Amino acid sequence: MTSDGTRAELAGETDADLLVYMTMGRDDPAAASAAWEAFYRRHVRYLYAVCLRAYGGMLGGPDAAGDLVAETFRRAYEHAGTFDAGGIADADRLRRRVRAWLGRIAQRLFQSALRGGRRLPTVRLAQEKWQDVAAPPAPSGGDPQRVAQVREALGSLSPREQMVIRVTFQWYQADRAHQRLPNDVAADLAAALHTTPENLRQIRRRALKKIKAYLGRLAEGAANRSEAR
Amino acid sequence: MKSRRPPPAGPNADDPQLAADVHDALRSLGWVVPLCEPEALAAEDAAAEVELPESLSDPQAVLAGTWVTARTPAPPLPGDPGIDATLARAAREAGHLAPDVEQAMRRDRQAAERQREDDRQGPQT
Repeated sequence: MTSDGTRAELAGETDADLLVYMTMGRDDPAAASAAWEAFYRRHVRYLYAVCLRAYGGMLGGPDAAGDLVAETFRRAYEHAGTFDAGGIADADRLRRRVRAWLGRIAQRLFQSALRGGRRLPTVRLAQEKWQDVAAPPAPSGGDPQRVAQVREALGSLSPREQMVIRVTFQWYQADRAHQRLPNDVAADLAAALHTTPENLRQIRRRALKKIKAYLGRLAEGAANRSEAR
Repeated sequence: MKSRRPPPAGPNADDPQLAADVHDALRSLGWVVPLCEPEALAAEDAAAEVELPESLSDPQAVLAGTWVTARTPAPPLPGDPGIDATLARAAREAGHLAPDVEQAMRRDRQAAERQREDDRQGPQT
């Protein structure tokens, strides 16, 4: 049981320090437990929100997203010693670094869940409850106008094309030219969409082609408008 | 003559720039979990509006995994008669488990999950 005193002592610690305390469960279980509680309370809402939005629909809803979040935190507790603070002392930056680390754990677990044969829903994505979660703003890395255009283009895809794109991009890595969807995930996705893994490739290819064509039309329209002036 | 291999199923195969653009768009929609600091920062404000489910409200219960085991039937695990007896007693006594039993359950569950993951892992990862 976590004592109020220990809890209060740890409330002001940085995330990196809390993670260190969490590794001391054998020597100081009270401190480890209090650190866990403080760490969990700081990040659980954030992690649940991003997992619900990103994965809730594909895993089957809020309960499944909650399961994923709980498992992510348990893994974080067990592997607290592997977190690398990268020499960051600033509390805000450290918080974001920790959240990115939690995100990577959640992503691995999600990929693992897909590979474990969880059934993928076939309902139209736009109708799912997790869509009610407020969308985060565009990340600073991409051109906001381009991002908005691609979002529009994504909206023009059929539900099955959206599903294929969403699932395959869970394995996206910018620095790798050729990435394969794991065979068991492809098989499960194909079954959910009543098609074959081979046809998934065609669906993905067709979806990307549609996006490209959509962007081309937007660019053409912009060029025409510019000429007309 | 060798037969042509099917194109890779990953998103980068044909047009890396388009793939990067699509990934950015998915990220901006929140359809990909933030994996780096700027992405985490961008997602923070929206996250504040979300209401937590009851199942995530108690950190110690989450750590012990008790709410998961209460809701989801556990897979059959290699049995330890002592643990089995304690679990049966706990079921009768409204789910209270000794800490060492909880720890053993967690270890067993993780071992089973690791095993299952290893079994399912294909050569193309």
